[in-house]
Amino acid sequence: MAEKEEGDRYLDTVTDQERDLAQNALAEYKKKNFNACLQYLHKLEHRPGDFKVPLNKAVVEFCKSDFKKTEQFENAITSLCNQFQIRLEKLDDVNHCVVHYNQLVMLFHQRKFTAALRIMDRIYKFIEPMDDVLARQVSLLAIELQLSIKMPDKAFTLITYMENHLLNGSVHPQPNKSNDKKPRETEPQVISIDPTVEAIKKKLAKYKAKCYLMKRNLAAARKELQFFTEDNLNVDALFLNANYEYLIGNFKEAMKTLSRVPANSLVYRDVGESSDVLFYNNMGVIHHALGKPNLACHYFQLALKEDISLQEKLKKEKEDSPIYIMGGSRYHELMYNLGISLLHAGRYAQAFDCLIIAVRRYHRNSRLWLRIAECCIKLHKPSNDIDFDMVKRQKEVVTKVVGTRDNRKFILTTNMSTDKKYSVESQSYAIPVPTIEFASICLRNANTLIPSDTQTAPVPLFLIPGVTPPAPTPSPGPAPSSPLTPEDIIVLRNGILAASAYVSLCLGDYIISLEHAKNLLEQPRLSPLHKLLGHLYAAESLILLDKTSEAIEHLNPENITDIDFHLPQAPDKATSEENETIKTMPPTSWCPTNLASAHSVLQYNLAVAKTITGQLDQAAALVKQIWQLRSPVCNVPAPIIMLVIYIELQLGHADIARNLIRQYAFQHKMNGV
Amino acid sequence: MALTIQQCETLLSILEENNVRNHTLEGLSNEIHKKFDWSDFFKVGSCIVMLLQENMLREPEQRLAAITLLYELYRGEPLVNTPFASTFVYLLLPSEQRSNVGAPKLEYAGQLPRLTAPEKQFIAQLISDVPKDVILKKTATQIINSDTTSQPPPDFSQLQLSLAEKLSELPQICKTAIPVILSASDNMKNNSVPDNTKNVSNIKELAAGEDAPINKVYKPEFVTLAPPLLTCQDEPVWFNPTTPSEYNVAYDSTMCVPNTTGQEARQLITKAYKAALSLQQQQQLLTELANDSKLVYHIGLSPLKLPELVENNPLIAIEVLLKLMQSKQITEYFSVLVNMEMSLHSMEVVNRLTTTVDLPTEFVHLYISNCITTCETIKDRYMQNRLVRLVCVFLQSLIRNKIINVQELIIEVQAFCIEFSRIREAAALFRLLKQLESGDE
Repeated sequence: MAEKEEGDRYLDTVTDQERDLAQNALAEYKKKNFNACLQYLHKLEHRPGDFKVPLNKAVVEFCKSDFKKTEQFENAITSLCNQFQIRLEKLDDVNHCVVHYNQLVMLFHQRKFTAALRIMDRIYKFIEPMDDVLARQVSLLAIELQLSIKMPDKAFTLITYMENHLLNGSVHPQPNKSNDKKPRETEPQVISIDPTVEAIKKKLAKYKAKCYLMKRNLAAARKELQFFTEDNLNVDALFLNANYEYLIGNFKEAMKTLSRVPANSLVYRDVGESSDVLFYNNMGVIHHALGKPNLACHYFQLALKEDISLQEKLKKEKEDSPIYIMGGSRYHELMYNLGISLLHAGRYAQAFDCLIIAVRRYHRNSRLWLRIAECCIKLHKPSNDIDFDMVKRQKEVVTKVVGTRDNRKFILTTNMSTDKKYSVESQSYAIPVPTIEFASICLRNANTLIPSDTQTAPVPLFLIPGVTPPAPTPSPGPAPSSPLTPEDIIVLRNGILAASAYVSLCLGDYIISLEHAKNLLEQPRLSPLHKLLGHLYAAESLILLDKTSEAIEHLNPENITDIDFHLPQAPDKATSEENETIKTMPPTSWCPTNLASAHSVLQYNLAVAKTITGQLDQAAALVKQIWQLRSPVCNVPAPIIMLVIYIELQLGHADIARNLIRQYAFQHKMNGV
Repeated sequence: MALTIQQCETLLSILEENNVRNHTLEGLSNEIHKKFDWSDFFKVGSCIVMLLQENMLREPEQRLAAITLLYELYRGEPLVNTPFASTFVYLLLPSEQRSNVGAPKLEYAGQLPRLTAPEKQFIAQLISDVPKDVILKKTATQIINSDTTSQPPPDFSQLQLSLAEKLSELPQICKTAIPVILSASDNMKNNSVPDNTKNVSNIKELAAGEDAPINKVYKPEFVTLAPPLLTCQDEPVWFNPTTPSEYNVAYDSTMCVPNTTGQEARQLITKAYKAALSLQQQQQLLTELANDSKLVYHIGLSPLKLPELVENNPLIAIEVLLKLMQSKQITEYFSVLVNMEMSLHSMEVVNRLTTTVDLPTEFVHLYISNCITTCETIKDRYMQNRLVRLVCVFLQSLIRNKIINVQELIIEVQAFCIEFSRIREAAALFRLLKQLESGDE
């Protein structure tokens, strides 16, 4: 404590000569005369208690190297922290913030966002006593950091704070303050940030637009975007406008806006990102929403190729690269996008490979884990069509014929559907291969990581004296995608539950599948389709658990009156429909496509339940009923053939069964029963 | 899980016509036990059952021998515990006989052959408790040709009962399987078993090898629809420019610029950590702070220094904290305040804060808990009494001003009152609590 105060005092005891030297150094720094600046700084090095001199020296040398000698800079900072005992955990001196800020900048460019946030949390506490120039820099980076981790709400509070405290304050400096700290009023010209208030205001408007777009507050976003419309050629404005058009579903307009972005308008070497990568990626995003996943894949691959070649070029260069292009690769985000499109394009194995790469970076993304599980499920069962493919299934009733003539034996199929896979391998499930076993693990992760419904998590009060609370790890979100709305979260949770129930059933884990199915059915808002699945899964699990009567209740066709994908409208929202909603959902399809077919599945499973409980006559009647409903519109589950044969055999009508086999399966003829 | 082809051949050679005719049943049984391991018995039994079901044994003698062997595999064990017990029940009591409908032509999946009276008689003896040495000494031919009219119908209801009991423990789904082997023609009607070599090769195809149909069953299957892909808005990541090059390192422009902001205020506050300021000094400091709302951030106060300020100049501490309410660091200040040693001054500060601003509830609760703990642990009796009085008055004020909801702390506070009931203020607080309680009701 005492030492520190002494240090403080030392910082404040300055001779006139030193003050002049420092002013000259600052002036040279602003003019980017780094050599001259260094000479002045050198003359100040005799101030041993002052960490600001070595800090500025390191900063100037780093600038002189065109921001390339990152390692040297980091080492200088580390040794200066050691020398002056500047530690983040014990930060209580506003003067030290600048040191940590510089560390933070390094982490930011290396895309170590969690570590960067940890520092940001600490130094942002000192935003009030901080001098204005630094405070603005800190605030801007804080906003960008929150946007990088897709936390628009937090970013927004930071923007508001900046508008209220950091912009107004400097336009009208308070009189007594300006007297006191004359030398401080001069604002250093920081490289490439034009700190004039107008420029910052524009920047803030851009941030705000990004926030609104992320939060899908489209009306507000449009308002914010109007500030840019005058400079039409502004690249940022073009991208943001295209983003807006995309979100409202104006895909043509979005593409048109994007195509106005001049090629190479952002050069990777200069600014740390490439407009080509951005362009291709966004074209992919638009095509994905248009329901053209193959074209989307093509664009994502172009973006990916460009991104990879940029990174390889960097690696080949002998010299170090400037810090701000170190973390510019969008590889993982592009892999994510590509994976999603491949999944929609039906290229499940490739999609799996891409998403597995993406999840290494975005392992807290619940939806991404669900997507991986979906790849596994799709590889396990590409489509439900197979359950209704009568022609194909008929051929599978008899797998083999042994013997000839009078001694001929039919070998019937053991199972028509291939959903079930009771794993007997001793291998762990936790191997990233697209199997239904791995899907179960992915879904467990997905379930754990569902973001909480409540927007504001309670901020815990840390009450340990002298210890500032550690920055809480950011709560799981859908990064790299935009944050989820409460409705999205509902849909996501339902999707995870349905997939979990299905996967557990496939693995023979019917206690768990029942749990998931019941949980699904208990959800307050549920799409009719998920309701159908919930009942089907619950019924099957219950039968396997020998609870037949309960199961049969679930199979009542009256449970299902619709098979729509969408959530029923929230009761309170029915009237106040928003004027602008986002429309970026790619078209989806699912089999069965109509209610009649869905009912026939319910009826069929009911017949199976009755058969299992020995109510063969009822089952036979049901089966007959289902069969008669068959029409081009109403598809009937294909395993029904085998069920009929089974029922006849169990009723002792082996002759009928044999005839059925001859009629349908053995000679593959189609006739009515 | 099925017999190997060799094992299958061995079994068939034991059941071969001539072998059966020339050996007593006991001899056949011994042969089985000699040639097969105990671990293979189930497979042997399964194969025998299939041969019976599919009517693949040409002669009645073979059939009888097969049934005997099925029993003899598990000789010495109670029949009900052996895997093939139900086979015997079915043999003795064919399904159509049990069905109420009584349609004679019924044929079920995996139907076992209908036996003649002498055969049934023999099997009934076989599975009964009587010694079997005599009957097993006979050959199959002798048994088939024996006369049975004199014998009463066998009774095996006990076996049926215990089997039914066992089965009832199994879930329905386990009892629904049927074999996948189905004759293309009626086994019962058609007795023309093909020539031996063809038959043997058929049997081997059905009953031997890795993937033998004999081990397969069909159960009624559910249709399990796979869920659709998740539908969601705005999933792929849209890229907007971020221009990373705009975020850069910072030069400290305050180098060698002494911080002269509010120098006097800073000096005063530094004094205020060590000793009480004079009234005049206090006034000066407060006026300076009041004139410049931002000054409070520049006077060098930090959470760590707060306790000293509270102890020496509680009034200043209150004013400073009120000015810092909007600060990002206010949580740290609170946390220091709540954890500092309890004293009249700290209590005064907390009390003032509670009446002027909305403090977080957790904070107030924690402070109260700390106070109570301090009172309980302090050794000096005199100090203790003093502190308890203070706490009681403090609590009363909090309760009266409705700053805390006493229900959330009731147990702790009541215990405190009871512990220090000798002190007048504690008793008064207790009465207040009771009053509130009855008032609530």
